[in-house]
Amino acid sequence: MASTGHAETAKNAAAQHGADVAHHSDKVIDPLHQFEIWSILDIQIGGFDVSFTNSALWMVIAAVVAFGIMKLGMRNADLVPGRMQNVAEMLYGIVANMIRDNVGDEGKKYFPIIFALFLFLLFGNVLGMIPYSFTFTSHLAVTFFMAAVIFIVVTIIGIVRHGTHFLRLFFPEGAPAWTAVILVPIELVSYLSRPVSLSVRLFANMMVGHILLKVLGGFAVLMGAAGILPLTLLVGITALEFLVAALQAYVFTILTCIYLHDAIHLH
Amino acid sequence: MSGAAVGLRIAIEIMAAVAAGVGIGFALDDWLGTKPWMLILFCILGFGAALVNVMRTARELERKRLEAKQKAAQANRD
Repeated sequence: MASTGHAETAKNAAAQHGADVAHHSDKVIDPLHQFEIWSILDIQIGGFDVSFTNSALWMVIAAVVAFGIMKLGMRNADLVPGRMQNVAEMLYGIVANMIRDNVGDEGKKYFPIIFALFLFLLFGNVLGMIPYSFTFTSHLAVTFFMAAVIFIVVTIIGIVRHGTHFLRLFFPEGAPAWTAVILVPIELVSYLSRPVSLSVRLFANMMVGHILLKVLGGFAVLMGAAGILPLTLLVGITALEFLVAALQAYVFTILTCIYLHDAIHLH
Repeated sequence: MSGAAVGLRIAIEIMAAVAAGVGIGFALDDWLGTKPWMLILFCILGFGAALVNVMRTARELERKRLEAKQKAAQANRD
């Protein structure tokens, strides 16, 4: 999923990376350094830079870990689940319940894609908490691409199921007909703002949390003996960040379910 | 959900709607060559959409709060 938007950033980051190396030898707080993208393997296809970057590497790791945990958990499935099987069944249960509660029975056939989405985001966020790793969900290019694909697919599902009747979504029932002049454009803009809010929510939460951790960590180093204060705070914030990592993956998935529900049932 | 989380959610909801409006306005201006009228129009529509979004979010949060309250009351009675 290393998009071409990434490639541009990758090139700039690679150039900056070299210039910044001298900087990092002494104590300088650079909370944004962790978001730098650099190319691991340069690939050019038809004039496009599709290099394999650190972002792409961590996407692959997240996908492999997600696949591995599910595979390991289900390897010898027992009636009384073991430790790994418990984890796998719990993850399955979370998404199955979410779809049943928010989409209904029609949502069952979309389970595989939503489950994959949830696992990918969950492990992307959680693996990003490992020191020196990279959080690909802290880049708007990644989250907006995912949100845009979800938005387009959900809209297509709605149009295929309801045809022109799908346009009722943009006009509240019972309102006088002449108000359509104002209401329809507003509803349209509101509908088109969905992928923006969906992607910005995930990206902002992850980015803010990681910057906060780095800034507090920098304080702990620079303040000497008094650094014990930000250090204690850091322990609490780290715990909070794990919560945010899991919660934001959940929120992204649940909103996908709600959009799917709107497309299938039209409110 | 904590107060800060609700605040961030509402703020993003407003930002997203206005950003979508401005984006559409810019694109239409570019396409139709009507600079700056579409931008102005869709800015206003974006603010309208932001209000709609915030109202929907608030209503949903309120519904969730009531549901949680009802559940707690049920648990107390049992």
